[in-house]
Amino acid sequence: MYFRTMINFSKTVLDNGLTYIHHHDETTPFVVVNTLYKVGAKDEDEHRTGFAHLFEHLMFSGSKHFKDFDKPLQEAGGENNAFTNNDYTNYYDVVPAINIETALALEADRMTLLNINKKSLDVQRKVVCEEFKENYINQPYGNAWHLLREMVYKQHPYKWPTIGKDLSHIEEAQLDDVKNFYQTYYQPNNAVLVVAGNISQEKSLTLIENYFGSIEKINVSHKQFVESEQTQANEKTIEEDVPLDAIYIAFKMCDRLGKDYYVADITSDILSNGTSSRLHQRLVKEAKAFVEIDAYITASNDIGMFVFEGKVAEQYDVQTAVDLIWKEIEKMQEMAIPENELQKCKNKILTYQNFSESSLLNRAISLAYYEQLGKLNLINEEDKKYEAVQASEIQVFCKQTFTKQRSNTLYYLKKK
Amino acid sequence: MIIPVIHPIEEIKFPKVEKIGLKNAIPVFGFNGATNDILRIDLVFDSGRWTEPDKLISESVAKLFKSGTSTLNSFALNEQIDFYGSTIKANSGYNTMTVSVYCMHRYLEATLQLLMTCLNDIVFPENEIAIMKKNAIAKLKVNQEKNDFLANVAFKEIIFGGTHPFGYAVSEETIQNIQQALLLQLYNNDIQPTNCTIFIAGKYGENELKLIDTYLGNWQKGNNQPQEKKTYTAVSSTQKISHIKKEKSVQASIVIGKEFFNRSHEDYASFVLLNTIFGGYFGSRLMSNIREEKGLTYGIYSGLSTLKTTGIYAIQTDTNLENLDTCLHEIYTEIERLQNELIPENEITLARNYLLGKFLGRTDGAFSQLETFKSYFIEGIDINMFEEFVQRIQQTDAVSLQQLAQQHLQKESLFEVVVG
Repeated sequence: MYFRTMINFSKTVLDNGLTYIHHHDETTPFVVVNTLYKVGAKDEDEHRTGFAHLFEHLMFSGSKHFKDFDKPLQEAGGENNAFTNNDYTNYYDVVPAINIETALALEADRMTLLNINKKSLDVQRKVVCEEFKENYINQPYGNAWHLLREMVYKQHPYKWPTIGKDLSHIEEAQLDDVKNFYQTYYQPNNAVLVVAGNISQEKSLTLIENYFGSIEKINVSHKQFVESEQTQANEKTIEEDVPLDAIYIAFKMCDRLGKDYYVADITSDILSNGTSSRLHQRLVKEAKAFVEIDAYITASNDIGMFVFEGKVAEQYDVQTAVDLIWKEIEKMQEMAIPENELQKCKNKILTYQNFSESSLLNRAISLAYYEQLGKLNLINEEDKKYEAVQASEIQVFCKQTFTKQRSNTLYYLKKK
Repeated sequence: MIIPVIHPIEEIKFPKVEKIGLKNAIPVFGFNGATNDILRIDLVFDSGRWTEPDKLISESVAKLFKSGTSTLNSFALNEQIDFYGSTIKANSGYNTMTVSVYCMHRYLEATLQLLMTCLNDIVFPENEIAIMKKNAIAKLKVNQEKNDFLANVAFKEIIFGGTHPFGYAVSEETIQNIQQALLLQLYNNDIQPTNCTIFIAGKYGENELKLIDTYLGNWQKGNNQPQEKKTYTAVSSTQKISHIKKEKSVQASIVIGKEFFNRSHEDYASFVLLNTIFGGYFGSRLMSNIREEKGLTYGIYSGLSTLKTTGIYAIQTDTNLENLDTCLHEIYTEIERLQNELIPENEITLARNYLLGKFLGRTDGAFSQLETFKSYFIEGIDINMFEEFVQRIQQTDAVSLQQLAQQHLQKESLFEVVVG
């Protein structure tokens, strides 16, 4: 009955270890060159956090053959950006297909010959500090995730956010640290390169060999992280100058490849995706306890977080509001959800996925993402995995995951 | 390494737009091109802030667009829409109300049935209005803690005036004053087949078009009272500079700009090129100077938003309080440079090529085509102008860019708002 076009791809590993994935789409005048490096905030030293992200900024400072990264790309009619998270750093360039070589040359050059200097470090350090202030200090609830991560993770480096634990870590970043970081992680064998769009696989492979083939590699080792099971409930209260009381309740959950991942994702949708979802309907509309409420998962490579987050209605008692969340959790634990409610969530996920795949850039980023995860084929298999989730599995998941001992509750309260 | 040659984009064609007729003569413009079995339908109504009988009415109708019918409460209605994995949402703009539908083919018919319900039978129940108000007030309070939000509100109020539909600021009291009768008035007057244009994008064939004709082609709705044509005149503030103090701020938010022209002005395309150079992209002068050279901000942009009858030009950024004066000074210095010096040829080429890449992007795929065509349509601009704009961007030279800067960016004409 239902038809979804599979995303075509072919994968080649170059002699220097660079993983190259090609995706062909001749309906667009563009190509996307997406380069993902397997380095994120989790690879940082606990006393020097925010580094992976600061480094992302420096990747635009120019390289041996290009004074500046952005200019040639823009002159080629292209656009580019990057993002960093706890697991990886991703750079993308969207260019008219006729100018693909400009993007490849730029990416190859900064993979190995980045121009790291004091001036650009000084400037980007300041820029990142402004970013830190704009998004995490000058915003109401801006530091909530700093607090929450620290409550949930005791050993794993997920305990600090990508922007960094503290402004001072960024202010103190030294040129030698930056050079070291580049040497350690920005290697062809630690990268995934995707070329997607209007170019044939043969032609593209020749270009890739030409621009990236001669880059030499240094072996990269990745630390493995542990995180022990939580056995005691965790609570923290903070009072700030915010307009409404907010509540965050977080639980550890499986990693991205864990068997419960899809169950957890659907569970979060049952709870809060759409106006008819349980938390929205019952706690915002009926009980009027919250003005907004959300349940979501972090979808990180390693052990993840399942988070409930809500802003409590003015004059509503915070503890009662928290109890209401727990009551909804208990309902999920006591009785399997009805079939049509489950089907509803599956339909929503499928529709979202189908629309999202219509973007070439999304497809390119997804290919790199699944490859770094170690499961490239998942890109065409996830719809079936969601489809297979059973109501009974959701019930079991809720029982195992949402217990008081495993909970981390952050009360982010309005200063009296 | 041999540096690759950059090829300029020589020609950009906007694909031919398919015009589809419905039984009741609602115009439908179609963009066929997705590979998956998906469809987006946008219904655009002449409405929005321009026609609303009182403040916030249009926005509230949009928020309450699925708030319940005479027989289905909000939950029941939303549960059905959600069940099919579909989205139906209304968005209120300055001159329009847009109802967007996203769905998969296999649920198109069911979704269209629900869409018709939303178009015809919403009763705006009092209890739903009450919840909406309460949540809107809560959200307003959070926003009022944000300097960039406050700066934007103040800026609109200053350039259009506090009673103009584009300029009014919202308080808790404005939200409290929203009346059911006025919501119904706008809903009944504006959400009408005679006031509607449809845009569809995704993948469609005979089957999908037939379904659309069956439902939207047979759409009729009573209660249509003749619309009085409204006219408003912007009354901008006499005070050019407005600094609003906000306690405990770390950063200040800056907005500088004025009311401007839209796509119908002969200088539109050339000005877009000028703005690109000034602050319209990452390689712009503002960004290079204020972020990349001096590290005073995380980002700074300038841009022209075009509306149906007017436009808004604004330069926006956030900066540390101690750097505020330097930052403001640098912004005006960059404007003066555009007015006093010819822009070097290579800088123009760079911005031009970047901009042409953006224009190429607007033709790429059914959904981008829909967005582009729709925005031209709302402003009453023929889509053939798209290619003319491309040519204009290819031809504009340094001398005309300098003239444009002298003509349209005089410092005395700009309003400056700072919150922090």
